[in-house]
Amino acid sequence: MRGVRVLLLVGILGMVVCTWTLQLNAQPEDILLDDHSVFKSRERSPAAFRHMYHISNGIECKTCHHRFKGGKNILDETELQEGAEGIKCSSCHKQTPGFRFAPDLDPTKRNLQQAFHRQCMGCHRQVSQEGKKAGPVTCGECHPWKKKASQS
Amino acid sequence: MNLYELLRGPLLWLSFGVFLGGMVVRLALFVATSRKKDKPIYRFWSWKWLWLSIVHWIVPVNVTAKKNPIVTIVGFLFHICLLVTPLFLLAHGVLWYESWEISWWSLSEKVADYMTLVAIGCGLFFLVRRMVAPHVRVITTAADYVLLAVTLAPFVTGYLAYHQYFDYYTVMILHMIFGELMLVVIPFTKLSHFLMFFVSRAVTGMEFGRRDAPSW
Repeated sequence: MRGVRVLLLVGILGMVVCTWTLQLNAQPEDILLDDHSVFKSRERSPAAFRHMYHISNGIECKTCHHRFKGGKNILDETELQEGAEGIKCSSCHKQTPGFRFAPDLDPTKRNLQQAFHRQCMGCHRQVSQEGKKAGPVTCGECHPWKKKASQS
Repeated sequence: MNLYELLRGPLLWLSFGVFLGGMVVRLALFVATSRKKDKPIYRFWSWKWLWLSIVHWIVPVNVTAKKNPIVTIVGFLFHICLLVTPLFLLAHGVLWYESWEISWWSLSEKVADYMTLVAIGCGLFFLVRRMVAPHVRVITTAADYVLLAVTLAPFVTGYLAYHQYFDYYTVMILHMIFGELMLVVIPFTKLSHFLMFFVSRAVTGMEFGRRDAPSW
């Protein structure tokens, strides 16, 4: 009887680990931030966001992903699946701020470019000010000149 | 705190502080001295001559424009590019927004790129003029060359940074250092003419004006 219980426990644990790993693997590696629905005329090459790099370095999903209601992030992490409705930043952050994804949610304060800049640079600067190694903060580090020619 | 944060935070505050505070002191000293030594200016104060003089020199309708059209054109181009490019540069606008959540209209990066080149080109024209034209050479000191270099350095490094020539991060750090250096030296040098120009033109305008003689 004890053996069956252990087996069951191992099975459940295995399933949890598998689901977690699969979900993790389902996350995109690098994301090119070039949403054409919003960025119609671009001045610079699109930034490549190292999505998986952030996950593997222990950054929680809700550090970046959000859905604000009354200033509180009410996002359900299980919704974070590729292709899910309203999961892309541009679902709410448009060319101008003030968009509400749902009537009961807070309107956006920033347009898409401002949102990206704040998410990336804001965090990188904060981490850097804490004396830790942080990501890029200057323009060219995210928008390399060379890629400009290849952008479509 | 790394070098970028140091230059973007405390040193930027310091340079803006020295720049703005320095200019207020410069202006206050000028007014205090003039109250003691140039009392007629206050006795014959005339808003009409003050504005007429400033306007005639802020648009090229004056004796210099007629006598030296090339210097006037280059001078105007230089000053327009010098002031407009950094204030309306997209990348600078992003930083203003990031720091203060304020934003305003910005130039397209291509236009700003050309304007930077125009500023550098005009600066080089003035450099050559200083070395070649006898009437300018005779009043030129080493400080004038240094000041021209200080003025052009943010534009040269800005151009290199935008095009990502050489080591990008190093060039960007140099750009920030030179930009802040320029702000700091303004109140202590001839570069203060960005503000004192108005004072000089106003005073000269009123001085000539009370004799009914235009100063332009």
